[in-house]
Amino acid sequence: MSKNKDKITYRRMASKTIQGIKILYKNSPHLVISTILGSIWTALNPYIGIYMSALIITELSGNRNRDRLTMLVLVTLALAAAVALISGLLNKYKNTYGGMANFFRGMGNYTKKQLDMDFADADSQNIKDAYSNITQNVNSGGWGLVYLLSWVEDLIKGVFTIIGGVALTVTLFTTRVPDGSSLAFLNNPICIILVVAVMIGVTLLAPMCSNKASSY
Amino acid sequence: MTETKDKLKEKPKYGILSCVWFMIKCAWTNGEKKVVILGLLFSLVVTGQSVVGLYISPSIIAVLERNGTVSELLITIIGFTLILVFLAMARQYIDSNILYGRITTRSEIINLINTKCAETSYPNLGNEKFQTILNKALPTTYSNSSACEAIWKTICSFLSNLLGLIIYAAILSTANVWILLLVTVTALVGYFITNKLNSYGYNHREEEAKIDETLSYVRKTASETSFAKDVRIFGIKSWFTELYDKQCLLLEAFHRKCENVYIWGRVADLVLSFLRNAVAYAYFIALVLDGSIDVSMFILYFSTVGGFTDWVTGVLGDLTTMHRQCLELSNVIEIINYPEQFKFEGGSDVPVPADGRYEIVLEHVWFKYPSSDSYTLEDINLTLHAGEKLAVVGLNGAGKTTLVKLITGMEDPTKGRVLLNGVDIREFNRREYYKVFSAVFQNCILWAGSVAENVAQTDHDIDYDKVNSCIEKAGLTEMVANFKDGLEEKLNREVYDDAVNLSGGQTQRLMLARALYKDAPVIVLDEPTAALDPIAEADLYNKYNDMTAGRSSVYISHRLASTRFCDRIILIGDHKILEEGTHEQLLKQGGKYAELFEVQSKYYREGDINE
Repeated sequence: MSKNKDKITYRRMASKTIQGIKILYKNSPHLVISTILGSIWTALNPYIGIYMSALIITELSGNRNRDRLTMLVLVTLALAAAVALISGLLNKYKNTYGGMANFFRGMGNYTKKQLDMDFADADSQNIKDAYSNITQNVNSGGWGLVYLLSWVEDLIKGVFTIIGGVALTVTLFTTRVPDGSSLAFLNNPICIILVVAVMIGVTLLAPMCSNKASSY
Repeated sequence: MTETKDKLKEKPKYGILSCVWFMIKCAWTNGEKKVVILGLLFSLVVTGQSVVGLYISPSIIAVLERNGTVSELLITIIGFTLILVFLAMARQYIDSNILYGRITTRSEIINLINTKCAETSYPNLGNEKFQTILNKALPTTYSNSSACEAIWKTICSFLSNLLGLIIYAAILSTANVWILLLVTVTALVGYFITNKLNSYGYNHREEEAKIDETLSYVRKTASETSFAKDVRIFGIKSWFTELYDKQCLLLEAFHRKCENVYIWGRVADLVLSFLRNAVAYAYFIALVLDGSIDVSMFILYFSTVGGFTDWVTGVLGDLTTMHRQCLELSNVIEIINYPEQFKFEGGSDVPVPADGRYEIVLEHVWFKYPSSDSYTLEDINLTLHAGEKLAVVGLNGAGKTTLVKLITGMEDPTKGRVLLNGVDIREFNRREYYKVFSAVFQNCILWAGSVAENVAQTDHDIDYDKVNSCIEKAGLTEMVANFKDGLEEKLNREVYDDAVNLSGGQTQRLMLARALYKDAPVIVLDEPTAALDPIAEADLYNKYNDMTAGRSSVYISHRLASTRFCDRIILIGDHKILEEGTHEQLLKQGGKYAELFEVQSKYYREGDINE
């Protein structure tokens, strides 16, 4: 019974999350921007390395052209350096305004509110209980305003990893295996649908099982 | 700065091995052997995942390179998939099962520290060294990421990194020893540069701690009702808000300063990995072009280079982390093993006299607190006769409470002896000695429990008739009758949402009921009327003889009028017993007692205030 009471709709969850992000943005815009950009960047940048490695391996398995290989290696190294530099800069902002700074800024919202209240409210047991719940959630559960950004960060990272993964695997289904090959059956639309279904199914099944288990 | 460096170099009392052994022993003896066994398995699984992952792409490409059959390809893919699934499941299973064992072990350590604090010799609680170690030990138990729990992760990570390092080194050595050497050197140099630069924050952590302290203070003050009135009446809000914002800016500035240092570590890492990868690419591509290795081996070796760097960095990082965690854990072991001043193990039992009464003698007692240069009490000779009602009076800070601590065995004299029926109390088991006393101290502590539990000081075998009788003597019958659950009403709202809050006076009366329930041969009341209103105070005086009948008692107060019903009064001042006698005798003497009594009583006499 209480289970239903505690349920929160996705709409309300989204609205509360946005409200929380707005408060955090007001506290520290640098942190919100660098965290969002950083999570997108972290999700997408591995594909640069994967793509460049694939090009090198293709060249090594095919033409083995020294000049092209040299160029590919140099571009790969330069891109890796650029990726590391950009990640470093985004991390710098995130670490400066995140961590304990974000914790105190976030908790500061409650502190300022408490200082602002009438004495009757400040002395009220309901307010004390509410604050006690907030601090307990923060200290024990890792929930609440000060941790909101880290959950949003995970969400954005997840979404962009999926987008990156989908973009990278599209060619897997559009490229045709030569007809004479023993793997030519992979060109069959049923086979493609089957592979896509398995991929999506497995991808969705894992978090669903995990959620089911953790909701206990 | 030098001081901080010295602190870093400071040798802990217990080294890494002792600390790790302590943790293993804690887990093992508390039925959490799985923490150790599953931890070892976890390390193997993590390394296994990495090694299997390393071979997937080269193996599949090898099949494709030699134009293997579809079934060969499928078997390779399915084989690796099954192994990876098995390892992932094993990892998840271990991870889930090990977590609660680790938490239980940490809880046991918290329990050990709490037990030590609850049972340690009373002087240790006021001892600066004990408190310093305790203050360092407690934060190591606060959360999953604190040393008492996090060290398990570090140990597992260290073992898997070490195993991975050995396996990857073996793979790389089959390619070229120079490459192995280059990768090792660049990884080591990168690690030491990064580590050196990253220690900036740790070395300057006191700067951050100061800001944290201020911010925490403001947070705490804002949420405490005891400050709420002052904050509003004196308009402190804007001061606190500005202070808070300023400290937040300072904290960000400190982090910015650290990050400006750390970024160079990342640059160094970037240059070294650029160098390492350039050489690795050049060497392995050359081998492929020469036909010495195929593409699958190129992938294997090149992946090994990256992985090996991670293992080296991992091993060194874990060692550093373990060192830091053990510095913190050393405090935990030190506090648990802190030497006791009193005899809690062994010592003789306190004899029970036929009439159940005790005589306590203070013989040439001198007492000095460890942090003080001067004596609080000097050459005190005092006898508390069996069944006597003794009052101790004196101005604030005269040493009345210290005298009580000496009588009750909370402190031992610096010089001289305290005798119980002629035997030095240091001969007795101190816990047995404490059974002789019942007390109401100045600071009243209510436990989170029912009224009955607070009076009986236990949650089982409570004698409810006795509780009721003590409640009545303490004048709380009406209060308890008004409670919804009577004697079962819960106290302490921090734990129970529906608990009641008692006023200062009610709490003090409850403490009195508690003291009466214990029914000990000697009763000590240290300012028991401080929080009572005049009517309740008068009520206590009227019942005092009843309450202490058949017992010796020591009654401490700075209100001289409240002591006249005692058999004897001693006045303490200038670290000594200045005067001694009954109330009437002392007034007749016309000494200090009479003078103080006059000062205190004159405002109660009509007209005096206008004189």
